[in-house]
Amino acid sequence: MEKEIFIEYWKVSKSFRDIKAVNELSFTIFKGDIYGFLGPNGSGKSTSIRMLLSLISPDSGTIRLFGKDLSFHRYQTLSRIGALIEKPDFYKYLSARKNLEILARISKVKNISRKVDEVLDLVGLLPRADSKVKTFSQGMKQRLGIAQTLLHDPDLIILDEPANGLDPQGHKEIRMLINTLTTEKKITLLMSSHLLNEIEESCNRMIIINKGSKVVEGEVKSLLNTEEMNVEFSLDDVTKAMSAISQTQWSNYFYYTEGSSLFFKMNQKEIPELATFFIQNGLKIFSIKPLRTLEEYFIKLTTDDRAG
Amino acid sequence: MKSIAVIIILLNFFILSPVYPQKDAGKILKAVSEKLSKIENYTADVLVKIDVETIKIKDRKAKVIFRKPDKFEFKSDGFILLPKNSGQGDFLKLLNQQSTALYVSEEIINKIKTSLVKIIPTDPGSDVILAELWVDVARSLVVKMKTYTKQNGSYTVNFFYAMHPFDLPDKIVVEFDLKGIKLPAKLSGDLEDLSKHVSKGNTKGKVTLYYSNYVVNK
Amino acid sequence: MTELVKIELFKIFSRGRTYIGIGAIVVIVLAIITGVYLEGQTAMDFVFQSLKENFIFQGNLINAYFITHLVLNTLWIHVPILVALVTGDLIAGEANSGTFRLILTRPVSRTKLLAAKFFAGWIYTISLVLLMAVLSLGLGIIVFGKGDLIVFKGTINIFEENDILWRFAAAFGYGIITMTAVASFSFLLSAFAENSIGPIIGSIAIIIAITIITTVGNTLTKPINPYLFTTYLPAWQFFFDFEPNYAKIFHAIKVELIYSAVFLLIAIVYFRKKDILS
Repeated sequence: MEKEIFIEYWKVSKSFRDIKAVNELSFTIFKGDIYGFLGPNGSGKSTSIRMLLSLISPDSGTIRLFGKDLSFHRYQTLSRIGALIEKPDFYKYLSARKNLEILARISKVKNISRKVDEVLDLVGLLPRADSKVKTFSQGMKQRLGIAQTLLHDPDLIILDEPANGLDPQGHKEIRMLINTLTTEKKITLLMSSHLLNEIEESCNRMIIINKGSKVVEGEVKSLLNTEEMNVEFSLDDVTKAMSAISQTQWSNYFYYTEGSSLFFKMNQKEIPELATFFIQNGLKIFSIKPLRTLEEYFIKLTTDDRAG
Repeated sequence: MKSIAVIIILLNFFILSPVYPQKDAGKILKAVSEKLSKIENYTADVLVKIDVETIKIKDRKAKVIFRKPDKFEFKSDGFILLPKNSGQGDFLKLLNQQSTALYVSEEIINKIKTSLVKIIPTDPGSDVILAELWVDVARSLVVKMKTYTKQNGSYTVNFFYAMHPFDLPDKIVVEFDLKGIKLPAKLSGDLEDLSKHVSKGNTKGKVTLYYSNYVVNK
Repeated sequence: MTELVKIELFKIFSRGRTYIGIGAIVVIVLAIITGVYLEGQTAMDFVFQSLKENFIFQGNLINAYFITHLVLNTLWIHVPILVALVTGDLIAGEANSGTFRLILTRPVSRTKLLAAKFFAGWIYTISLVLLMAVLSLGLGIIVFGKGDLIVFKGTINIFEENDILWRFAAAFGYGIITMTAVASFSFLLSAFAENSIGPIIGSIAIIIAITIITTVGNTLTKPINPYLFTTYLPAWQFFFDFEPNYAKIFHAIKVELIYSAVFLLIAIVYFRKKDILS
């Protein structure tokens, strides 16, 4: 049975002055997905999510939510989404309850009082309902942030770095909450993070973006498949190498090139074979770096980003 | 020769002797005083109309209470601005004080034949230096008064009479010189050009008092 | 929309800074009453000393209406600051605190949200002006009683008691219109800012600067003065002419309302397309 598409992000781009924050990014989220949005800091995650929620207008591309174009159906689509963008900022001079009541009224929630108590209870903040938000810890604010996403019983929840700034205990609490939401309430979830383990633990599908562009998208299990690995061959002549593999089986393993490196998805046993192939074709190999899991690849991306 | 003598005699007659016989200023003023002394007291409604460039105020109603010999009291519900020299009070004071009176001439004032009498107060403490009274001798009424004072310049008062049993005026017009008024500094943001309004120097002021509903000697 | 307005009003009146404005109005009125109580007669004597040569006065000009007229002068600087303190924060304050991320991800139209914010700010503005009126008249009557009104406006203008209240009603009504223009202006600056300090101080600074320029450089700016909204901030004074010039008054009202509408429109049009990055 074909799954219902909740989010269809198609060749979306956004620039801020000369900086291309998002570059023709495309991805799809289905109903029931727990979708991980992964990328190093500054990769365009938040910008992409803000465009999903119409906080930012894309320069080009199409965003469809629940089969409807966001540009023309903002009201209908946003009424089915609960979102927490970056750190949760509330009206500090009001209590947790008052903050949620205001947001519930904006969302035209029925039985506001009952609903507010329900979501506060769910996130474990009911005892502090009438305390001013300025007295809350970061973890409590984060939980309150998740609570506000649930007020209008959304079909899709978007969490942008939900565990950001939290200690390990806070992380654990958020993870448990997310688990409750997805398993008990069967809510479709889009969660962004710059930490792979967060995505690994919670998500069934994921995308990695870097510098505003998609690097990889797919099932978490298959992307993190340890039988297959990503191998980086650093060569003296990339053009010659590309030409050499083009008519051979190795082109099926090839997926990416960057600088003087070619990247292949292959089993460990196949590495010497490919190395021999390059040498036989007159190429010099400077280095061979196997990346055993996606995590190593992601770490590399993150390191390159810091160095760059 | 004969003609020259006639001319000299005629000139002497016209220059050295008045054409009309001299009137007694004292008698004229005494007649006015006696007439006024019949009024012990009165009340009246008065409408005050101020006509001064630097003051804008609508006509105000008041009640005037007079008690012999020269006490005037004004009562009003709101704020009222009255000429300091309101005419009647002043010439009453003049008539009651030590002074020298001189008959000057006959003049037509406000279409009435009047005798001009000059009064010089002899009291050195008096603020009045000289007063001129134009008196309707036939009715013993002061028709016009011009007063020169030490402190407050000069002012002119015209009296208008209807046919009232006690010949009390129904209208008094006071005209005076007004020195430049000091006003609080212009508020920034005033939209009008103040040069149109502020008095730059001395101006003339006029106050008209309309009297009605006299109740006399009650 | 009503719901949004109620929410915005709740937010405005839950904040401490709102009560700074209200408290300031109370302090201003009390300060003026106290000042007049202590020194009012001296000041009045100073004005009338040049008239004493020719006039005698009867009646009390130090009264509630004199106080209220003095209080109206605060519509020039003081009240605009208190208005901008709240209206300048309506948009920029949310941007600064990050709460737009919570609100604008909900199914709410940006146009309606901004309109609701402005309307709530306008209600606050009206309440400030009305508070001024009620307090100055009420306390003034208790302390000084009623009487005729004296106004110094190039000439000494004295109004009868029965000719006063309608003028105050009109002046305060006009004050609401001018403060609406101030509110709109600071609201517009708030739409462009990410921090409320800029719009609050900026709007007042710009109003004062334009006023100084048009006053000092009047010869140069004379052609455009009739079309600047700052020119007519003190135009409530027109109601204290003996014969008010209604043509000028209607022109002033027109200018203020047009500016208010234009400022609001620009704010909404800009904000609809603005990228929310905070």
